[in-house]
Amino acid sequence: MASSRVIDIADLSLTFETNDGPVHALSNVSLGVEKGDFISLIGPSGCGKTTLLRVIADLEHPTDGSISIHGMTPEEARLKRAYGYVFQAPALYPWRTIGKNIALPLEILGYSKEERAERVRKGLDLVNLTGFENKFPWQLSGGMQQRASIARALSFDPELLLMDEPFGALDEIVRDKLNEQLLRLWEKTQKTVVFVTHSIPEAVFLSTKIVVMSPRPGKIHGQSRAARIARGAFLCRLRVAHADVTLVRQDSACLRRLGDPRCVLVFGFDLSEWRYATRCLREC
Amino acid sequence: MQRDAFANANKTDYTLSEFIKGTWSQERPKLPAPDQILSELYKTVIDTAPTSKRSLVFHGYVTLSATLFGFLIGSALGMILAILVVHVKSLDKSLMPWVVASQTIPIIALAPMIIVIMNQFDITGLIPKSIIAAYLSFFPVTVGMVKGLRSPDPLQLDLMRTYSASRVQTFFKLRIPASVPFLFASLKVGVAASLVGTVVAELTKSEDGGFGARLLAGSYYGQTIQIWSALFAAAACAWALVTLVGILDRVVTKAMGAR
Repeated sequence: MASSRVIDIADLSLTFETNDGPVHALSNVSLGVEKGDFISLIGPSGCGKTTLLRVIADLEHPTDGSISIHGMTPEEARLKRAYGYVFQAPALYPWRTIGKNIALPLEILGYSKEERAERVRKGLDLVNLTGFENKFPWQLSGGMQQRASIARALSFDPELLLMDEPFGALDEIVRDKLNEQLLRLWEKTQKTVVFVTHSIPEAVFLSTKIVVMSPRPGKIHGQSRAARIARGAFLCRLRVAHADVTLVRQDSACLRRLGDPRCVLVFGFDLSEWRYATRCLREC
Repeated sequence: MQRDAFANANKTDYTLSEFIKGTWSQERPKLPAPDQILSELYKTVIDTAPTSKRSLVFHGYVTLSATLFGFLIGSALGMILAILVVHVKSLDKSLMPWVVASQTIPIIALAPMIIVIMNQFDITGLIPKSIIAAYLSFFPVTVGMVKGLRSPDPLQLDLMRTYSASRVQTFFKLRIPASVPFLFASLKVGVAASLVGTVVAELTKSEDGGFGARLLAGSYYGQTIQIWSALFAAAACAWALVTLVGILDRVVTKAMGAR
């Protein structure tokens, strides 16, 4: 069972030693990620969701517990280039064109020039940026830059995609659009995705499984199988209007057929959005 | 002074306007009038053959060749030091204080010693002057380049780490390109500093000519017009050099996607 898992985390803890004493960023986190999962780590800021992602990426080292990625340690996985990482900011190198930015990991991994060109072309196509190859990052909008960074993370075809609030800095309209594109991309490529967000609608919309984390020390508060909401086939959207939150679960095929959103479930809402969502996710 | 000049000419019944006019056209003024400097510049730059030792073009060539050579040595040294300082932690602690200390010594005191010592080893001509130019120009290049090589933010470095990039790859694909804007800013300071260094060196080693030699000769013989015109010519050269580096800066950064 454990070997078929892409990521296996057991009793993981991480404590940062600071001048003001130890900070328990993660405490006894256990999590399994299956192949093809789209997992969202969600929680308020400071709950350790980014830290957990960084541990998976071998950018931080756990102080206790075990973690394996494809049966390897995170370091071995990193050295084997097992994952692509999308940061909160696009982190494109400003002196490289979009095409060259996407080619950056390929250059480092030593791909031939022809293969680089081919993969850059495919990557641009995948994120709908064809024709922007020779533009510099500043000539693109924030959303386009982030799409380029996704293409860069996927350029060397890693099995696992780690995304750290990739759309956090974008406005809601762009974000919705990118979420839909990401979902389509995930369906097309069948990658395993671990996605950090603080947006409940985003998590509900994208994920097959949602992991809710609580802060100080960061631990897993609850997990929901969005598979029960129906994976892929259903689009879920959480809309905030006045004091009510409407959770709309929508069959994507239906949506296309009907052309207008159909309300499936309506919850009353009077507490803070966060507490409400935690409850509602547990009920899922 | 003007009073003395009139007294020497046995002229006692001068008017105020004659007196003022006289102060503007003295043969050996303490502070020359602008038109005197300009006509001297015209005479020594355009009217005199460039091969003549009286030509400022000749002296400019002597100074500029030493400046540029020194600048090349200085920038190369500056860059190498910066790369070492950034990559070897102990050098950061041990080398940087010496680099800073080197600039606290007045170059006017150090230049004669360097020239005399090098003369002992039969190193003469262009090299000693260039060494002093390099001595002044390496410092801004080191400081700027260190800053530039350290300028990539943690995100950009993390990205390299996720690709398991080697130190060499990170250096060439991230640190070097990130340092370019910083490098050019310090090259501009460095090229001006090497001109100053060369002129100071020429004050000691004046037999080859150069703006410094011109300044020295001018002060020996009380030729303030000559001093001032050499100063202006040196300033114009410094301006041209800085502009040249500026153009190179724009060309390079444009190719690297600057707006």
